[in-house]
Amino acid sequence: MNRILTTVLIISGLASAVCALTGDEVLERMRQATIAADRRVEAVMKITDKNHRVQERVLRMVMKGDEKILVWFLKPADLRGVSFMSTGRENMWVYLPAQGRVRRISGSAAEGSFGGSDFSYQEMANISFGNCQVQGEAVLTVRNGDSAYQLLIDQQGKKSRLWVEKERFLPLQVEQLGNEAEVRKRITFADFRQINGVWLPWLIRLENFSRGSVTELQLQKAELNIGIKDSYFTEENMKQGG
Amino acid sequence: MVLWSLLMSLLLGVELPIQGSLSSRLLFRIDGKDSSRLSWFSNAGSLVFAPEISEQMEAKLGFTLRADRFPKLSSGTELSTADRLEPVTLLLDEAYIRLYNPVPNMSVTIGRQKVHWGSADAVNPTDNFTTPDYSDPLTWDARRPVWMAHLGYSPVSAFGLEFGVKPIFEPAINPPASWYQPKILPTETELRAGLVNQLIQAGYDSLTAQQIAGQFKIKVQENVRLPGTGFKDFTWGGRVKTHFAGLDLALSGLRGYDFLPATLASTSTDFNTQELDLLITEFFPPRTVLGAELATNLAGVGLWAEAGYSFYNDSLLKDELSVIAGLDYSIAGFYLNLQYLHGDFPLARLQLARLKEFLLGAVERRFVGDRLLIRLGGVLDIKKRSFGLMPAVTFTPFSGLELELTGLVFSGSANSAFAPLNKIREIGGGVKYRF
Repeated sequence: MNRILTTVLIISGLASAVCALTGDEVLERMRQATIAADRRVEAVMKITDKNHRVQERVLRMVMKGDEKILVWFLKPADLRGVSFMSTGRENMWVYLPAQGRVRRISGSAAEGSFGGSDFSYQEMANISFGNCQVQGEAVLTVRNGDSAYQLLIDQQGKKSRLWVEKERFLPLQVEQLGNEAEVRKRITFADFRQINGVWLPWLIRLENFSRGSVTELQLQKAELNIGIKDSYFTEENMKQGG
Repeated sequence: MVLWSLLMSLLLGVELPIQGSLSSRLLFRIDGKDSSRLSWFSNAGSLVFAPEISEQMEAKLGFTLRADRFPKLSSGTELSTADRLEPVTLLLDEAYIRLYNPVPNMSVTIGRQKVHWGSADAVNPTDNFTTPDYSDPLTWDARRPVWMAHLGYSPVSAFGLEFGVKPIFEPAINPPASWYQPKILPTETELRAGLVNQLIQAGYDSLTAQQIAGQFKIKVQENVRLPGTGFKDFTWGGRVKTHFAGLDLALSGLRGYDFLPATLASTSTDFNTQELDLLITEFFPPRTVLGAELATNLAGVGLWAEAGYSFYNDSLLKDELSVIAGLDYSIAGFYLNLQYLHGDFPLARLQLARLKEFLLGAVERRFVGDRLLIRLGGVLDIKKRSFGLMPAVTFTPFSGLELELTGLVFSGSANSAFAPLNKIREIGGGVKYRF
């Protein structure tokens, strides 16, 4: 019996070595599985603070590739019409209807809270894992009961641990690390649904350990590959209110 | 309100979401001229109807009821006049129809709307379509919407054009006189002193000049000239904007008017009838403003600059360059904002002080899960060392409700930008609910 078990372990070990993917390959496979040419999504954002008080926002998001994103707040009333656009790493703007103006978001303000949530503008802009670089090798592990590749990624100088489901190459969880490698934020992706061959997490949950709050982004409606052009991402459309 | 909404929905066959706000705010003067009194208040309610017509069309209709004036009676008979006892102003806010994509990436908006140009905060030399609203001393950059047609076109993400035409000129709204009365007309004492000087120059001794001047009847006539409504009087302008390599750039040109009046005074003295006639003509100087804007990031610091060069169309006012440049930065939870202005600061502009050097700054931090905002804003007249400070604490117990505690402090030596507001110390507070 022991001999059989040893043989199985050796064979599985050999198989694992043969099939092992590099971190970049895992990231690329994940992108292939999850990034549509474009998508239009409606979502409810639920923010729960450390005292368990809950606030809700309703958002509409239009994304193209992994760089362009336009988000409008539809609710509540005090945020309705506020929009956010990013067309790449250096270009983020916010539109405030009360002022009737579009403002560029400066580098340091990019870390600021997006609509009072635990997401920063930077995280909203990189929601599709654009501008990520893998450091080191992919490590096969188990995360939340699923076999997963664990990667150490660098997003504009910030280190994160990313777990990618082994079978379907879906992102399971990201932990953003601080200077002392402590976990500052944990983002969990769940309830994946396949639309037009692309997997989309219907629930994104962000735990902010420094604020003690949690933000959940629950998708309500999603359309993929609907032919959105690059020229959609303009100041005029930011003002459109979604 | 619900019935109205229902009726409109039935008539238009569309959903008619209603937004609105209620606010009640006040300022209490604890020091300075006319202290220990309520100096300013505003009770306002606004409603905005925004029917969801289609993806290609949007309409908005908003109005505000604002009570910000104290009851005023000049006769007991006016006790039967409700609008003297409860003065309320009905203001039409944004009321427009906007078409999206009549050609791809174009929007056309017709009606009462806000069009805001400029990259700087609070003071924008290139922003000359919408009317400044100085009625709230706590909000230095408020604007009223104006009737106009606006076209926006962005053929590609990095390039956009705008063009606007405004047929009706609406001047800036000043604060209520109970808070601050800009000085436009000379007092009778000043006029008599001028007459005394005139008589002394004509050869009279000081005592005789004063006696003669004391016998003069003084008549003051005020003539306000608003721009006309002919095609040639329209305000119109265009703007080109682009962004590349992390840089936003815009160039603009606008032909319009100053929102605050310039004053021309002429006196005629008739020694036979012993009458002094003073004719004050207030007019809104026509001008052409060429503007440039820039905004970028450098090492995490937001940077911007904005300049407007005003060519006055008559020779009464000198052409002038107004420039503002600033930066902002967020660190350790604090947001910092600093700007240098060579130009007109709104509250200083009210007393017709022109083109001074200012530093504008603000520091703010949020606490309690972003629900508590503590902010200190200020402005400094660099050359005369006069300043205004506005500390504020805003608490948002839940989304839509804001409770505010605020203060206003001014210090201004003679001839400084804030001289008329010298030593004013005010505290205030308010509540605002948006739905």
